[in-house]
Amino acid sequence: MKNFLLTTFALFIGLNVSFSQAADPAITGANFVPNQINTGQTSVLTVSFSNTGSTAIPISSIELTISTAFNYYTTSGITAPTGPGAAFFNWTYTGVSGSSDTWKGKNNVAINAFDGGNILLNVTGNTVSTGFESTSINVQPVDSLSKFNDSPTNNNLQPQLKINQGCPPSPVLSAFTKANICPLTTADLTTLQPSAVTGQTFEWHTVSSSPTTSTFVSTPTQVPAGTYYLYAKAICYSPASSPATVTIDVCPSPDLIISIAQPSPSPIAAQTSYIPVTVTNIGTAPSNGLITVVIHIPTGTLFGTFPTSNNGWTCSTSGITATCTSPTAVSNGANITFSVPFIPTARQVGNPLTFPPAVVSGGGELNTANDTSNSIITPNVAGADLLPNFTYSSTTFAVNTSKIIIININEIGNITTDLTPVDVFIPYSAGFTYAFNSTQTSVTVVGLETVNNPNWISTIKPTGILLTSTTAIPSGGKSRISITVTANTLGAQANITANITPNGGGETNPFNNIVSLAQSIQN
Amino acid sequence: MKRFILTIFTFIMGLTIVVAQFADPAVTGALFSSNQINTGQTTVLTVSFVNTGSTTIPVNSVELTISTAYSYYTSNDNMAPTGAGAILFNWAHIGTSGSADVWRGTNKIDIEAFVGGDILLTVIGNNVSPSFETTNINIQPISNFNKFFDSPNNNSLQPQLKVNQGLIVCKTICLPYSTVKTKSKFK
Repeated sequence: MKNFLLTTFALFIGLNVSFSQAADPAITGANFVPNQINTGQTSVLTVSFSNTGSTAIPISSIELTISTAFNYYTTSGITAPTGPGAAFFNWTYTGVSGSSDTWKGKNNVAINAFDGGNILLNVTGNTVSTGFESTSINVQPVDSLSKFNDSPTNNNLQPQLKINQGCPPSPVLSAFTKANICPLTTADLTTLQPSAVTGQTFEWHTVSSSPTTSTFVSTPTQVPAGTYYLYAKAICYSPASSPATVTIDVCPSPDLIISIAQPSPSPIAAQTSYIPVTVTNIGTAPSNGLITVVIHIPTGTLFGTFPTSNNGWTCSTSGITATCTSPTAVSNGANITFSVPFIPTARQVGNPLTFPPAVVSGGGELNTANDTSNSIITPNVAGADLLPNFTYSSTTFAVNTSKIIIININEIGNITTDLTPVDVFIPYSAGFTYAFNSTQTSVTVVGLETVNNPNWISTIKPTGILLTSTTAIPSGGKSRISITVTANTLGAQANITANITPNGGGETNPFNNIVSLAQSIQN
Repeated sequence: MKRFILTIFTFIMGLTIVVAQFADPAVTGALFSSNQINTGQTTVLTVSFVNTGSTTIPVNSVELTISTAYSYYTSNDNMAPTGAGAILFNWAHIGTSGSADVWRGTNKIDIEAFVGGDILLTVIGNNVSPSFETTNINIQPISNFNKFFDSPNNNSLQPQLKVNQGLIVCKTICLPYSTVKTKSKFK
């Protein structure tokens, strides 16, 4: 019996020795390499796992959890841990974006005593951390608890990783093409940028790598067609974004041209003529905004009075330059005309005038290469021109006789005189007397002659007779004045003179206004 | 610069228009009150002077000259021309006795448009002339030429005077007139 009891005890002892379980899952080491990274960079977490016990860890009996400091760095959530140690586990990602980043592994095989290996997991720095931030690693039995003699002191580790400011990640554009919005001729790239990130700025460049100041797009809100890349910049540049392609569509726009035409009426000295100025919109859209025309009149001419309405154009002048503006929109394909008045001077009579090109601007047009008009050369400037001469029978008198002399005021400029008074001065001559009869309409010189005395008013001066007329002398015509000359003194001589005061009747040539006729009384 | 030049040009053109001047000094008539006189007798030369132009003749800018046929009749070199026209001039007698008898007048005031008057000069017959002998009268601008548009056709006249043999005063014996030397009253 004693032997039986001893044998049984020994059996129990033996059984106890044979079936005693001492599995001990352990995290024996954990670290990040490197333990400081910049945002956007990655670090590898290495966790040393082993079964330090002398018996196997049964399948599906332990769970290993890795929870990162998700506010600062995270795993991909997709790529499970790797490495010899990781191969003992089936891994499940239980993280919730923005609130956790956790991998859980349950052993998918029995893990023999002393077996194990490293578990590797990549993390990426997302946000700058104020210090070293811990990742919690824990392993613990979750089943077959009798198989374990688990030491709790080797079940946890908290390796730390610090996230420093680094190059930002490549920004992601909201779209990859951009076009202008008419009537703009540039595009705004900034609408493609992602939301701003604290501590970062965005820069657009024209290259996909190695951005420099020379590739920098200084005004991304107004860029021409091309390919552009966005970089996020902190202490360094991020990689380039995907390319953004800008296309510029041709917008409908006005295009103004200008022409000037021959003046109307043909230029006449001292009279106003008008140069028609036509602005035509040959573009594809109505003009918008103020249109300005600058036009020069020929040197020596003067500006006349601008028409009151002038089709809505308002002009100011300085010297020989007129600047005219109009706010009126000109439809595409339409035109608008206004007039520029000018007055040739007497000295320009007989010569043409040259109008230099006029220039149009404004109206919202984009094409400024066709804004200059033609020049024009006018016909010769005409002007009324009065020339006096005499109609007479002879140049000698017998004393105490009288003769009729006719002073012809001829218009030779082929322009009818205006209503400006024409003055003719006939000075007295010693030995002769001159008489003017305002009622005479015909006289006999050699034959019967028609005269226009009623058109003339005489003013007696101490030295002669001043005759004045406001009756127009027709183009190429004449006004005739008869004077009765009486010879009083033997041997007297006279230069009978008629002098037309310059500019009368609007005449323009004052240099042919005097005529003299030598007369004598027989001795 | 271009605008400056244009402005200057325009200004000059303006000046040209504004200051265009058309003074025309003229002698429009001339006569001797008697166109025949005897030696020793006098007659009055009347010259009609006027500015026929419409602008003023500036002072000291015209000269009127009267040159008699001094071989036959002369003026009194101490008696300058008179009359409404003469007072417009400062007169100088520049004739040399026996070789010239010339009065030259330079206008001493501005002469307005249409202003003038007769110029009177007395001459005396000295020697019998074979026919009517000419006195030359001329007027012309001598300065301020840009103030004139002078017609040359009314600047000169040549009135004529004939000097006949006058009454010979005999004290005892009368000689043929050709041997009598006439004595001028002005000498």
